[in-house]
Amino acid sequence: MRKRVLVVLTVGLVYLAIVPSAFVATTGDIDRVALSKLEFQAPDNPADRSYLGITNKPLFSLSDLKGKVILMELFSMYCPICQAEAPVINTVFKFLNEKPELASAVIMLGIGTGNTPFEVDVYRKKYQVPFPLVPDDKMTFRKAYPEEIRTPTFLLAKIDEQGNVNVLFRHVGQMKDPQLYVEAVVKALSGK
Amino acid sequence: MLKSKFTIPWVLTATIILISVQTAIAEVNTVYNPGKLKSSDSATSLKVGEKAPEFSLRDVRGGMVSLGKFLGNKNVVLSFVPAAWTPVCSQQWPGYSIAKDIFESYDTVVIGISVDNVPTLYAWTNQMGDLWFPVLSDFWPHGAVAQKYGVLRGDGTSERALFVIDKQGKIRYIDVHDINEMPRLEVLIHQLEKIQK
Repeated sequence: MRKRVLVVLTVGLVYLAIVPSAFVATTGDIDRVALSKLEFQAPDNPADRSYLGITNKPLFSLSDLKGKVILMELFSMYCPICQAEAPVINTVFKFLNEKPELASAVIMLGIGTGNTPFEVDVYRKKYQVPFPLVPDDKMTFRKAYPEEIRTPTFLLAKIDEQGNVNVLFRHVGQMKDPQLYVEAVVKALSGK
Repeated sequence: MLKSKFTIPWVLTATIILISVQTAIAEVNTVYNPGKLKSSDSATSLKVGEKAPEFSLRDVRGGMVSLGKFLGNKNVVLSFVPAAWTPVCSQQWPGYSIAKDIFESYDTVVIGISVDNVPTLYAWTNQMGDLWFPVLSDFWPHGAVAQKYGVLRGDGTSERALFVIDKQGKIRYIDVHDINEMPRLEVLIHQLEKIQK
């Protein structure tokens, strides 16, 4: 019995030591504080602006997207894992839009960390990305977070009517299956 | 005996959980981070307008590739990267890979060069997806081509350097970039635009 407890404790400790840095599901203050400060270059495309619900400002912040739930992908045009996951994420967009209750509740946004507008455009065209992608060539995201931001990182954030950003989940790395993203969104929205 | 019957499933379960966690971690943690490095550690004597030094190196997919092969046929972007499995390097070529159409529209081929040996480069580039351009090993004599181009660093790695060579074999652009930073794609493409004009 003692041996069994020791094995379980060891596994638990190793799990706690390693897992939080790789697969994070957090609604912590770090996210809230960091995200509320960030500003991004608004997309040029009027359809993208309309989808995000932002007006003709050159910059926007997540606080501008009041009342929305956003599935964000932090990607880089140079990141091979992001490239491999791009078709999966396009399918996530399709799946979300096939469900009216999700299509009206969640919008998607890609943030090209360290990428210039030109580089983001190369990625958009290559993978025919159907949702807005914005550049973050000033590394706003990386500077705002005290920890290293790996790509791809997925964040589901709810912006309340006051513009406060609440992170519902965060995932680092590929999931490879679009259904898993949709399930994670549904789960987070239902508060489970 | 009864005790060991119960212990084995627990140990097995623990092992499986650990292996799963480690496999998942490996997916995101394959890049060695050397920290911030001296931005450059060499001085090339090559100049824009000079003839690019000829070389012939082993391609990771087999065979040899020489610069002369492209003479009169394609512009060449020589992309030296410092070392396999390090930051920036691990993303630079995948970026060039998805920009294939742009390079081709300027009648240009990319040639990747690293001082790593073929097996290392083979494993490293295989996880970048399907690179469309040759990746050459400048391992032995160690860094000889990097030395010829004046971009071999004191520690045996190369600079993060770009050389644009036109169809006549002349160097049209040199960027010995800060090793810690990604050269911007549009800057490189702009140089190719200038050649085409």
